[in-house]
Amino acid sequence: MRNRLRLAYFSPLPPARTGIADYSLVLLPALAALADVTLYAGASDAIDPAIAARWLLRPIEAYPAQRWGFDAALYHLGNSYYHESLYRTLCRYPGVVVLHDYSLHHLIAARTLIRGNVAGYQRELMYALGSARGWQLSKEIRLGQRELPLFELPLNERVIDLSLGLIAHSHYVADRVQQRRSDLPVRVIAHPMLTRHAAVKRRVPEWPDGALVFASAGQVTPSRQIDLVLRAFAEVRESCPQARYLIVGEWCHPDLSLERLLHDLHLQDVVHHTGFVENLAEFDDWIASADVVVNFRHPTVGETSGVVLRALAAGVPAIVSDNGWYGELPEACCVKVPPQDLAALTTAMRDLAIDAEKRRRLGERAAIYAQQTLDPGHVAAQYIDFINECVARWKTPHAR
Amino acid sequence: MAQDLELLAARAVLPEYEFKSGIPLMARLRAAWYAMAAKWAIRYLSQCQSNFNAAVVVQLQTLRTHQADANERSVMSDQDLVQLTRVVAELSQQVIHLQKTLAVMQARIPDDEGKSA
Repeated sequence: MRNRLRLAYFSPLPPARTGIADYSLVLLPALAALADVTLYAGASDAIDPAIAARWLLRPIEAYPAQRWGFDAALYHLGNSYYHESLYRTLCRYPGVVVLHDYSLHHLIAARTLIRGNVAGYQRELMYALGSARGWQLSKEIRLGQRELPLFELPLNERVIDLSLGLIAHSHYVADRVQQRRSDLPVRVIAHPMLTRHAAVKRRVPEWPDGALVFASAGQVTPSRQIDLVLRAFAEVRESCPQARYLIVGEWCHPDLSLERLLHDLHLQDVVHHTGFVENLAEFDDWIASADVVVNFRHPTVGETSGVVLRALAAGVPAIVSDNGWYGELPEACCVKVPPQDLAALTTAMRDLAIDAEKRRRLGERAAIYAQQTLDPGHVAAQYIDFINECVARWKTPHAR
Repeated sequence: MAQDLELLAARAVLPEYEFKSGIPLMARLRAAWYAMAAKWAIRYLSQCQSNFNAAVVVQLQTLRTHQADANERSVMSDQDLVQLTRVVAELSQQVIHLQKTLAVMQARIPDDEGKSA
């Protein structure tokens, strides 16, 4: 009997602008060393030709007929529209779900409300809250009496109820999932990250050689609290004038003008915004070029930050908000600050700005943590172990 | 929704119009003329409208009850569908496992034994 698992693998893939596409890029080679992996992608999903050339890639529409040839389907699900086609397939043909974000509300809203499908959104609210509360809430939203509760309701109940096994990156997510379904096999597996030894140091030409660079990377959404972070940075500058701030990533904060904020804080000459960085290696280089990475998230919906892991893998100390997944990072390799606490953030940034030894020590521990815990081979082995456990469970007719 | 319907029910009955005027006796004169010329006809029409409104409110209340019931059944069906989809997926996995086991067993059967069978 064949021992290698045959996996149908569903995930957004580059060039989709989601960290989960990059995640798969890291995980796939390690997973393929241990299992036979077939990728499935939607017809409308643009796939990097290099991926199409390297991997066995099939249209997602073909999966229903081909599903008998796999031991398990593995769905990488996150909270964005990039997951639309795989979400649809998951609802029809459930499998093992990797829940990258605890909340799926943005995805649900994008596939229903944004397309004018009010009834579809109402159905999800009623599934999550019961018919009376769900109907009432959808009516209030329809009449403009209240905003979408994007951060209050995760709308992941359907996915949790359908899953045959679930992988989370944090106990924060795993515990909440098990509160919903205690019979569901759940495993916490770390987010894999490659350790790059040959990062190219990038610099902003206008900045002096001795500049101390703080950086935030990834999509700048309101939950990243960039205004709070820059306010703290402005205070740090008073005692550390060589400090500079780098923002790497797409600006997705419609209610806040960076230009205006920098003007108000008198930071125009010491903050640089790269905009969206297409090339992942270049993105990594920018992160590795920073002295300290600051990554805040409030509110959190239980998401994992690829940016923080990239920083740790590059041996760059990080300051993170002490909530959700971030709160579970080892104290030894990052500094945790209560979310929305300007004074605490300022203190943390100032401490690292003036203490090079502390930065070096944190960075070293971060790199060790990354090598030991985030190694893709190690992570892939845990995937295989968990999927085998699920497969063994499914073989038993009493599994339900 | 229930509050909206209560509000509608309270407004279903049309009140009789009451003449008012700042000019002395004007309101009384108009009321007297109205009583003579139109009161009974308008009262009849108002009653018809009030009856109709009350019937509409009752219909809406019935529909609301039906809708709540339909919503409830819809959610239950949805939950059943999710559970059945999961059960089918688990059974499908068992079929896949059995197919693999069968293939291994068939491979072990010598060719001539297979022929005689």
